[in-house]
Amino acid sequence: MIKKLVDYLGSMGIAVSLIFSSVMADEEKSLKQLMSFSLEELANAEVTIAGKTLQKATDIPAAVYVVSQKDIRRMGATSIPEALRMVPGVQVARIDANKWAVTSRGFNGLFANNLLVMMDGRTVYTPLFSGVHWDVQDTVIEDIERIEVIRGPGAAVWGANAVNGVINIITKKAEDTQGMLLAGTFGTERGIVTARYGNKLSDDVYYRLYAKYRNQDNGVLEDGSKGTDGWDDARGGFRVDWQINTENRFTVQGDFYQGLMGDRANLLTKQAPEFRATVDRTGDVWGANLLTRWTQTLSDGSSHELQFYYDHSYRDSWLVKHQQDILDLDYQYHFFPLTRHNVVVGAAYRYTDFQNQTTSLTANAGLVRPKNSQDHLFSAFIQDDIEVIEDSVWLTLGSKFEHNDYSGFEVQPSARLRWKPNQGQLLWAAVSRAVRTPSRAEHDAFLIPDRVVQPGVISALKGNRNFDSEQLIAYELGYRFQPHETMLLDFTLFYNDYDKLRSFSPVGVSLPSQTAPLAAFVLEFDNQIKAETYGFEMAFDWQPTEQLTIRASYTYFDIQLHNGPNPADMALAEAFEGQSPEHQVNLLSSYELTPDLTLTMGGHYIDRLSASNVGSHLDIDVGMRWQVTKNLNFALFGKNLLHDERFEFRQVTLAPVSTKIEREGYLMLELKF
Amino acid sequence: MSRILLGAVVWFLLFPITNQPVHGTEFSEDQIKAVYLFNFAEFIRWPDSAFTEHPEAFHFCALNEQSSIIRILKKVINGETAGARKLVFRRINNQDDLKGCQLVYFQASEQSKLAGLLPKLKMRNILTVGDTEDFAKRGGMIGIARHNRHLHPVINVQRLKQAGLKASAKLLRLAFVVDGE
Repeated sequence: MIKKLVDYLGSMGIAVSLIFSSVMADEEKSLKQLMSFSLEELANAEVTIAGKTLQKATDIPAAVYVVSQKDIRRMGATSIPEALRMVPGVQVARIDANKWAVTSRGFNGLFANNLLVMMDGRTVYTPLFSGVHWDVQDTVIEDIERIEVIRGPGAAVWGANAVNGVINIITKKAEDTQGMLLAGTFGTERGIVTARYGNKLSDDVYYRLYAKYRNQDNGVLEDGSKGTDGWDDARGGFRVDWQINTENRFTVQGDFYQGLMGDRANLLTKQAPEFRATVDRTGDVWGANLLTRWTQTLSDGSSHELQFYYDHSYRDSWLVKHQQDILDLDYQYHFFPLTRHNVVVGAAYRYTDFQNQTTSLTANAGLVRPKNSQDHLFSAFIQDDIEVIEDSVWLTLGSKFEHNDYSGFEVQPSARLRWKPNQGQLLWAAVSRAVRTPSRAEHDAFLIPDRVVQPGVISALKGNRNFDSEQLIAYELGYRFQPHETMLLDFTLFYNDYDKLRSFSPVGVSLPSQTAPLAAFVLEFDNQIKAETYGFEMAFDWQPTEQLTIRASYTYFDIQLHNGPNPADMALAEAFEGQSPEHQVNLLSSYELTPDLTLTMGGHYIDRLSASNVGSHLDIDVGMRWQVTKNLNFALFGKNLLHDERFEFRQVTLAPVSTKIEREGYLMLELKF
Repeated sequence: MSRILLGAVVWFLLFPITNQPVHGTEFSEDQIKAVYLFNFAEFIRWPDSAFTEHPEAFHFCALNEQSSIIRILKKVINGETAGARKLVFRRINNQDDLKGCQLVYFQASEQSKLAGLLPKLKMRNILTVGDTEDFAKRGGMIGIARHNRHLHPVINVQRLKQAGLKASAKLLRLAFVVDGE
């Protein structure tokens, strides 16, 4: 069947290249024709398809991909990880109904820690393991304006953790979400209801309020029985935008959420003779955040931005019970000190307060000591975009400087060169250094994975105060080609050279005792692994007619680890290598049958994950959206149609029990007034 | 089952391509806008005092020259004249660069910068053009509105007058005219 697909794609390729040559000539011709028009004729000229969305990202010297609200609707995505599935270079996999593994350019897992994720400028990762709890990252999906994804190091501007990518989820301004929206999604696996109301307080002050409830059904266990991983999430929030005057703008927004999710985990217990048990448990999470942002745009085009946020989160889950409070202050200044120089400077301070407790369940499996800790993070950055040759060559130089309580002072410079030989083409190259700073767990945790090394002997993982930052030097080369305004091709090649990646080194053996009835090999977090990753990412966007839109992407990824001397490192290396697919293909197309009726089809092929014991798979989604009246929109989606059920990802260590994703159908109703 | 679905997808993808002509007599929005800009140099009259800096040239100015519309504009004005004046494009970085511009074009994303520039522009015989419908209501002189599949200029006559500029009757006939500060 794959061969067939390749044949079809091949024939499509020929069609595409034939169309190319005629399109290029056409553009010149139509412009000449327009110039000869009288004013009346010009006013009567027919506008073709809006190709605007395709042009936005074309000048950026990085591997950028934008998922628009339109794309989200076409996919029928009801959560943020789902909306990210189409992005080249990004791997999205569901572990169970409420847990996701999301990464860019490798190293995937529940605790994937190389990605910086932000919602409207608020960093949403937990410094506990430097990763993202995807189950609590949500908002009114209809209010998302776009999701910008930058693969590769974004460290020069964004800071630590933007090692392999930055995801920025941007919601619409309050003035763009006016009126009442009632939306519901009802299906075999999910049920979601949303209410959002937007209005204005005056001509300059707009606001919106929302409330949302989600229920996700249990997944399917290995043996075909139903899992216990269902998920409920309730949330609400607001946003106020105040255009104080033409130069100043002020935004306040906040959210509150609470969720309950089923966790099933294999854990070690003190119960002889097995010393391990499969435990079902309901995790409990809640959180709240408040953000304010002030933007001032001056008459010379320069701008100031000052942002402050507070973020509280609480999680009582299968592995840890912990609570964190983050206060963050950011300032940015964008200005033009000299002709041909476009400079952004910024400074930030972040305060994090942790409180950790042992869960009733894990006894001594997930300890973090000391229980309470306060971290301070100071950072500053500067970036200058220099026009070296007018209209043709630009050089972007920048660096981020930060000081954190774990690895101290860090410098993360980058240099990017872009060349625009003519309209519609861009060639860029970049070299960057980025670090993944140590997480709280790597310094202070004591973890007992459910691995019995041999009967009566287990392994234990110990935090290491000397654990250092993981380091990356990344080399990237990109080419963007827009042969016609309805078509965009984007190619990126990258080579990443990692040093000091996390490894585990044996530091001793603890003998059985009253409190710990099993002997344990004690391993400590260490920095003994080196790795090289390389890959090729391609995106193809095409809107051949006003009715038809195609977005396709292909990703090739490979990883070579050079492990340290310990057997534990070898196991870890294998796990890393087998958790990322070598090939990944995504396709999303939508066809407007009539202005009110749109059909969409999506397909994806994902290569096998050897470490996860998940085979390669091809799957298809279909959808239909119908604007019944001006106020009522109705959509029907079928997902994962080629399989009754399949695993997407299985975590190797420190793992909850994975469940299979099922074929599903759902209906979406949207009422606006 | 899966084969049929796959076939359906491929058919679905290929069908519109093979059955739809790629281009008719349609133009991109940016092409039409660029040609409008070109026409403004012709159909709007500037006082001679607007050209004291460079009497021999007419300057189109914009903050960003990488936008598709500016790229098209450069092609359009290449080698063209308005009266005896050569048409040229210049990128501006800030308000001091405005000297010698006859027309400044703002993209939707840049229109927040307009407010600050306005006082500087008012008495200086500079035409401000924006690519959105409400530009002429929000401090600019000419916006461009899309109605169905056609583009029309939206002109704030009063503000044009204040800047000492005059639109030809021909242009006013097909434009939407708005008032107000």
